[in-house]
Amino acid sequence: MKRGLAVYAIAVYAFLHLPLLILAIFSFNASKFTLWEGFSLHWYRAALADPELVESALNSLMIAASATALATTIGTLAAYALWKRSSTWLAGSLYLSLVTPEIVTGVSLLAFFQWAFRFLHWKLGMHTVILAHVAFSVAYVVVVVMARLRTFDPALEEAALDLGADEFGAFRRVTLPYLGPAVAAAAMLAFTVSIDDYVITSLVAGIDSQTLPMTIYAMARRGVNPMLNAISTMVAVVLGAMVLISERLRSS
Amino acid sequence: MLMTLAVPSAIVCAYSLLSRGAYGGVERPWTLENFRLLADPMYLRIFFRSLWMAAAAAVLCIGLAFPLALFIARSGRRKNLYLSLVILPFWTSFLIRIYAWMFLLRDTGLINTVLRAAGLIRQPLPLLYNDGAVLLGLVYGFLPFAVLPLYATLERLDPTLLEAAADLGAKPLEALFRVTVPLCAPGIRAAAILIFVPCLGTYLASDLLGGSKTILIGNVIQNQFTAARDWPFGAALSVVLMMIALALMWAARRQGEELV
Amino acid sequence: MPALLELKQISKRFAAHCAVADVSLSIERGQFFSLLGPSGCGKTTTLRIVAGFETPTSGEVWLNGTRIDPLPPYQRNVNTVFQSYALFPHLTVRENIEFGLRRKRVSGCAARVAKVLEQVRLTGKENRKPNELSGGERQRVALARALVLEPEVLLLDEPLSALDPQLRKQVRAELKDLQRRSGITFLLVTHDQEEALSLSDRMAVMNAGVVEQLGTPREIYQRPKTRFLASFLGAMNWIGGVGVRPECTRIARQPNGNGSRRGRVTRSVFLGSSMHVEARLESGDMVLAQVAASSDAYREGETVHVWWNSSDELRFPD
Repeated sequence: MKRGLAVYAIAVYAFLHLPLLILAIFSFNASKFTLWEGFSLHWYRAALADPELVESALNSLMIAASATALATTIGTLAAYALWKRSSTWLAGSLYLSLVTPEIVTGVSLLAFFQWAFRFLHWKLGMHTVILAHVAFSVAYVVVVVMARLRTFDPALEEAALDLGADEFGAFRRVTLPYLGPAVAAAAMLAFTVSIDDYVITSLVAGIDSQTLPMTIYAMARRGVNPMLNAISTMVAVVLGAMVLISERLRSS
Repeated sequence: MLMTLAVPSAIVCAYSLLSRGAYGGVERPWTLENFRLLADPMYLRIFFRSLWMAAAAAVLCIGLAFPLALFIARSGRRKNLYLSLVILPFWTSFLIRIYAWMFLLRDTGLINTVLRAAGLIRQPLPLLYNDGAVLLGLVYGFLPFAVLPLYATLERLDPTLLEAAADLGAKPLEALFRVTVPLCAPGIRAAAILIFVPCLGTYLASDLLGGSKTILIGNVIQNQFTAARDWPFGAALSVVLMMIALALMWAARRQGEELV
Repeated sequence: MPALLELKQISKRFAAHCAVADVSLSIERGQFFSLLGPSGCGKTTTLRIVAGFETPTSGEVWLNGTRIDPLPPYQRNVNTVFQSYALFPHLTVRENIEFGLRRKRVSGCAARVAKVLEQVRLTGKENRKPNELSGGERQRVALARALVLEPEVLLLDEPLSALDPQLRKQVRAELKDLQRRSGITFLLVTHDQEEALSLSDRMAVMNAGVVEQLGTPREIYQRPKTRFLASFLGAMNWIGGVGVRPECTRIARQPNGNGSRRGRVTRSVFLGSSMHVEARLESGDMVLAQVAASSDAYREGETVHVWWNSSDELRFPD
């Protein structure tokens, strides 16, 4: 049974990794077709020279960076509040938002923005995308930080208060340093879900806020394009490297 | 938190009870017409197909993930390495993972090219733009969601229980089905919800891998909010999806489980 | 009579160390046999080899004339009561007890379950789940689950260690009673010498992977073969290379003939049924005497005389 399981595991790992590996290999193909005609960086050069792609990548980075900063702050404070005074209601809605289909979150936010625009004279654009990204990534931050808080001994904070720190001081000097690695991991997760998102973004984006996934989607919709192989590989490698670096930071 | 989660949901609920505006958006009067429209056989068919697809994806994911989770849980010090190998593709965007399959499955894709070069087929196989391709995309995308909770429960399983089963005369397979699988019920339920609910509203997989033939509820909602500009009806569909997600969450809570 | 269970020169090596070294034992039908030893002495590994959870590196295990060491656990007619009980949490008491019967497709399941439930006094609790039972009840389910299969040998791995001390004594008596009535051969692993001494017909004391001595509890207690055994089983005074049990050591304010030695009381502890007097002899040896509680109280620093019968001396070649 043991050997059978190992063979099975290899097959599943192949299923998980081969499609992306093949995509990466063919991104270096000189040919436009699925036949191998030699190694080339042509598609990478073409992708980096495409103004629409570069602009949407920069937009994505901007949005992900701002959304991550906001979501991490709000999410960490929310997790801390939830830990101090547990609320099943809030915790439930959190898990709900994690499993809610993206499309439902997307249209909810779109409807919300349209309703808010009646009072504020705004239009869909960069700021609505950032707000939407904060809204859906906060839940991830809370879950990651909460997991770490569960192993935090409340007596440590009480000790800080006992030794003369005020409540804010106790949080800043004792609790927050303990949460550090979890906050970093949460920020990482928020960043990746933000930079990867297409469904929600496409619903709340305006003309000035075309993101990289939106460009990729538009290209994929039109069919397979070797330039897309190169972009996908770059995105996968950059995100993979970020995850590896953050894992290193966390374990050290 | 309330702003980001509860208010938008409340607004969608409200929209679902309003009428369609002249230029998109919503108008009064309040009505139940949108929900009545759901009973239309066409939408019912789409709804049932979405339910079926999501259920099939959940069952397939759990079935495929269980032996893998078992393998990881029993592989001693390498556990973490094997686990990160499951999570790794998950860090690449779903969109790119779907695109990778388009690259493999299309008529001039790698699979058809290789089969044709090998002389096994003359006409390309219609691999892309059908229900099977959508299901494949969903299973591919959501497999880690099944492996992680299953692994978490298997990891906590007391190995002496399996020794006890063997001691009482159970052969390895009997022990697996009589002891290991029943004790994994919490992990199986968690995995089912984590996969079923998002798959029910899937949009990308059906849009890119299913083409125009495989329309699921997620695509209908998206269409109502964009091209068709019938927001109240789209909102009504969303409300139904939310209700299903809520009902499943509530059922899971009653079993006293944590989902993440 | 041929032995029911026989271990022939069993050894088990894990990576670097040798858990069991060349252990040979034979246990007769109907016996209550104990393996006693400090933790890490290899007694649990030996039990697991008999159950089939470990394969010996070398040696053979024979049960009732058949060699069983190559068989998987599910093909051996022995059953185990685990230290943690290992009750299936998803099954009721009845389903736990039926588990083995169903695997073996035994007919008349219900009658056998009813009988064993009565034996362990659990009638009426058959529909409870393990987490709704007390520690003592869980222990009895574990026993019933193994006993219902009527194994040739019942293996018990520290079955009383999870119970609180008060309950332990009571369950110990019940266990002995159950063994006598059922007539099943018991192989008990324990680190509690009182448990082994009071329950066993025969026992083996293990240390560092080897059997130090094999015999009846009385033989081993009264005539230990090694210094380790003498110190491990009960307390022992070592005076000039000779061992004397505290209960054989006499103490008084006046000397007793030529044989007595002089010393000074360092401590005197009242224990209810008896009294422990500790003294330092002029030779520098420490000695402990266990005397009746009714005897005189000694003060610290008092001069006393200590002696014993030469027949109570234990000598060991070094």
